[in-house]
Amino acid sequence: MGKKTLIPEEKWEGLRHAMEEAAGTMKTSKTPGILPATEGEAARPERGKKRGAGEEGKKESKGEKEKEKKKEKKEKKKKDKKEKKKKKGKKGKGKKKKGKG
Amino acid sequence: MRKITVINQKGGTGKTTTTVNLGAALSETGREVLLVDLDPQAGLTESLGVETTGRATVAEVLTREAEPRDAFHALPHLTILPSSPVLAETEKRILRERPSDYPLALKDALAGMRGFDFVIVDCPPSLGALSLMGMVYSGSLLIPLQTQYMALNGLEKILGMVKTIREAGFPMEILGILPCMYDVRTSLSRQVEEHLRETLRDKVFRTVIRQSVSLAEAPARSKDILSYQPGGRGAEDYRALAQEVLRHG
Repeated sequence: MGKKTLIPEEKWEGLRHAMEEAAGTMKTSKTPGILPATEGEAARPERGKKRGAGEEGKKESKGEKEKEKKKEKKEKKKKDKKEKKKKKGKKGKGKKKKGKG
Repeated sequence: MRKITVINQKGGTGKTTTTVNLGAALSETGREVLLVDLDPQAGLTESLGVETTGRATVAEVLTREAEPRDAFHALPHLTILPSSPVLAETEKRILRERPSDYPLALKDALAGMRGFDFVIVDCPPSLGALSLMGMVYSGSLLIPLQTQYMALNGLEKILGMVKTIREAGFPMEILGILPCMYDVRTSLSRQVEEHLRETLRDKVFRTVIRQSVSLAEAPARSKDILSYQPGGRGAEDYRALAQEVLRHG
């Protein structure tokens, strides 16, 4: 009959691993560059660049142009209205009846 | 001055027994030994029959209210820095006052201390702030381990903590794992010891502390095993451990 094992092999493997890490003899892959880039990391933006500085950024710039155009249109409308008011005002003055005296 | 911290977060593994008896065995070889009781339960202090009422303890030394020399208690062969239940409150106070560097509290308090060849620190059965202070003070750990399955889970946790402390920038070495309460009659004890050596190799002391009634009786007489039963197997085992520690340098 074989020797009865009371403690599973995984337990010892875990201990070996823990000791190597504690003693600092474990070759960990913490050094930058050794770790393979995960999906999340691949999507991470480069330093100094804002997230979405690519296509999203372009969308933002398009939106800004539209806003500027709208502003210009509004300003034009305001100017036209003012001019019309001025003209109306002049007409109004002309229509005023002269005093009795 | 060689500093050793005896640690295991599990209770009853032989921390205090190892602190007292390794200290006594080293003292027998002519070394000056200081034992530091860092456990609020003060088991080490009580096991050597040291009375602390109205005297400074490690608690006051940690808060710098007393000089280490004023708190030392000299025994025939050993010197002890005793503890008392007050230490539990002191631990909380240090955490409040030194939240960022509390692990250095014992190191700071005993800095500049001279006159001892060995300082052995007995930690409480937890991995809390006091244990961390003890670990950082010495940077060298002796882990007594019962030769049982559940003890292995605790060992993994200690090793994890050692890794964390080392990564935080504190030098830390595992002096050795000491199989304790070894019962030659049980196959579990034999298997655990055998596998420990296969797995952790030179990190396990060659010495094994065998189960012995006299090791449990000695504290009741406020004695170390070398004074209580100098010819017994308990004394023999701790003498062998002292020799291994001395060889380690």
